[in-house]
Amino acid sequence: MNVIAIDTSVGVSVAILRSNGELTQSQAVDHGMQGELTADLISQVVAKSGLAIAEVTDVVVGVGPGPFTGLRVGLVTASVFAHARGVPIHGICSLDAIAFDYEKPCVVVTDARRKELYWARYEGKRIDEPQVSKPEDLLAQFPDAEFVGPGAQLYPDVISGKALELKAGSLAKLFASGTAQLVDVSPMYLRKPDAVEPTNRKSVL
Amino acid sequence: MSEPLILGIETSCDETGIGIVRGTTLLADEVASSVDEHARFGGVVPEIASRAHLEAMVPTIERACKTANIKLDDVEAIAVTSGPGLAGALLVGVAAAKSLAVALGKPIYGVNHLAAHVCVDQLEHGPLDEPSVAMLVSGGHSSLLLVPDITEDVIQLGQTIDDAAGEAFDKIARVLGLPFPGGPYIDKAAQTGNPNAIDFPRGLTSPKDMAKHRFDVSFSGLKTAVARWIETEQRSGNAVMVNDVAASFQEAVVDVLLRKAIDACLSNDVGTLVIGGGVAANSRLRSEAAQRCQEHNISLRIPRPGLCTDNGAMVAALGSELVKRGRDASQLSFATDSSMNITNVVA
Repeated sequence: MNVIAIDTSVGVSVAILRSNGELTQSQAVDHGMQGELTADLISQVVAKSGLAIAEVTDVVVGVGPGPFTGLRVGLVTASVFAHARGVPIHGICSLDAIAFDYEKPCVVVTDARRKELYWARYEGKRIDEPQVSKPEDLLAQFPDAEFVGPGAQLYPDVISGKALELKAGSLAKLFASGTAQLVDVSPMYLRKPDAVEPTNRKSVL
Repeated sequence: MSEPLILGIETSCDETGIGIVRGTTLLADEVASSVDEHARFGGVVPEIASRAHLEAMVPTIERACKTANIKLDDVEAIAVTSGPGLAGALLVGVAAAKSLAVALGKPIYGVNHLAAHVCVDQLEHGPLDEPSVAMLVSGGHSSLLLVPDITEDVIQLGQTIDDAAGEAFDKIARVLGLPFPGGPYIDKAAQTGNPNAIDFPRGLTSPKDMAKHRFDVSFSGLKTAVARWIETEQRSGNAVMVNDVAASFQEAVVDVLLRKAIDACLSNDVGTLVIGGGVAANSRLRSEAAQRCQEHNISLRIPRPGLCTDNGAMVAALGSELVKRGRDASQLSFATDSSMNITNVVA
C-alpha cells in the first residue's frame, strides 16, 4: 500500500507513505496559498519519495474542519487525483492527525478565525463530532483539558496549550494503522454560508 | 497525426463546466449549475457557488469523459479558467485542473475566461478571422475587444464603467417581479412588448461622453431610469406594462451595445464581429446584431446560446488553440486572478 495524504485545513501538507514504511512529507504554513502550493508540493513530494504516481494505491484527505476556501483545495485536489488514477479515496477529520501525534487524551484546536477555534476531544479516539467555539466557552467546558494543535497558542490569555503542526504524514500513518475513524469525503465546514436574502428594494424616487 | 485532445474546466461563477475537444471538434460539454441555489438571494452567492463546484467536480468530469467516449489518460493537456471571476469559485476549478495535470502528467494552461468566450466560436464556425472585434456581454463582464491573435494578443477597446449588461438584466427583472436570472425572463416578456413604448436613456452615447468613453458602456443610469419610471407609474396608480418595460429596457441595452460594437469594427477597419457571453443568448441582441452587421457589411459570428453562457468547452477550445500554436504552458504554481486582465491570455 502506497498512500498519498493531502491536507489543506491549516496551510498545506502533503505526504507519501510507502508500503515499506518510508514517509516523505512537506508542508507550507502560508495561509491562503493552498491554490498555488498544493499541486506543486504533491509533485515535489512524489519525486522525493522515489515513487511513481502510478504506484499510488490510496488517497487520504483531511476533510477539515478548516477555513472554507483553503479546505476545498485539498478536497478537490484529492478527489480529482483519486478519480484520475482510479484509486480509492478516504476521508479523515484533519484534527485526528494531531491527536494521533500527541497520543495522550487532549482537545485538538485549530484556527477557525472570527475569534473562534475548531476543536475535537480525544481519549484514545475522537469523542463526538468536531465543533467550532469561542476559546472562553471551550475552556469553560474542559477546564482541565490539554489543548494541542496549531490553535493552542492563539489565545494565550484564555487557553495555553501545546502548539503542534498538522502533518499529512500523520494522516497517512493513521490510515495505514487501520484504526482511523473514516468519514465521508466531504468538507467539514461547520458554518453556513454568510448569505442573507434581500429585503424589500429601496425606492429610487 | 490527429489533433490534440484537450479537457477544459470552467468554474468562474456558478457553472461547473467540463468540456472536451479534439482540435476544434467538440466532443463533450457538460455543465452543472448551482443557479437554483442562488435564486432566492437575487444573485450569485460566492460561497454557495464554491461549495457546489466542489460537489459537482468529479461527477461532471466523469460525465464529460463518458459523453466524449474517452479515457482521462487520453487527454493531452488541461485548460482551466484562471480568471477573471469569483476568487473562491475559480480556485476549485484551478485546483482540480492542477490535480489532473499532476495525476496524468500532462501540461496545464490557466486561461483567461474572456478570451475563452471568444475562442469558443471556433468550435461552431471554424478559425477566427484575425483580427476580429469581440464583444463579451454577461452577468460579470461587458467588454469590447480587438483580437489580432486570440492566443497572445488581445486588446481591450472598452468595457462597462459600472454594471455589466447581464447584471442590469437581473436587476431590472427584480424590479419587474420576474425571477432570477433575469435575462431569459426579460427576453420572453419583451417578445410581446413594444420596444419603442418608453424611450430609456442610451448611456455614454452623447458626443461629450463619446470623447472619453467611445467604446465603454454604462448601465447604471439606465437601471435607475427604468426603476424610476416604474415607481412613478405605480405611484400614479397606473398598471405597469411589464412587457413594454422589458422590451424598451432590452432595446436600450441592445442598441447601445451594438452601436459601440459596430463603431469598433468600422473604426478599426475590422470585418468580423464575434459576440459571446451569457447576454449573447438574448434573442433581440442576436437578431438586431444580424441586421446591423449586414447593413455595414460586417460578418457576424455568435455561438449557439448553450456555448454563449459559461461552459467548459470554451476553455478547452482556447486550450486547444494554445497547444496548436505551440504557446508555453503555465507553471504548476500559477495563481488564480479574480480580476485577470485580458492582455494576459495565459496565466
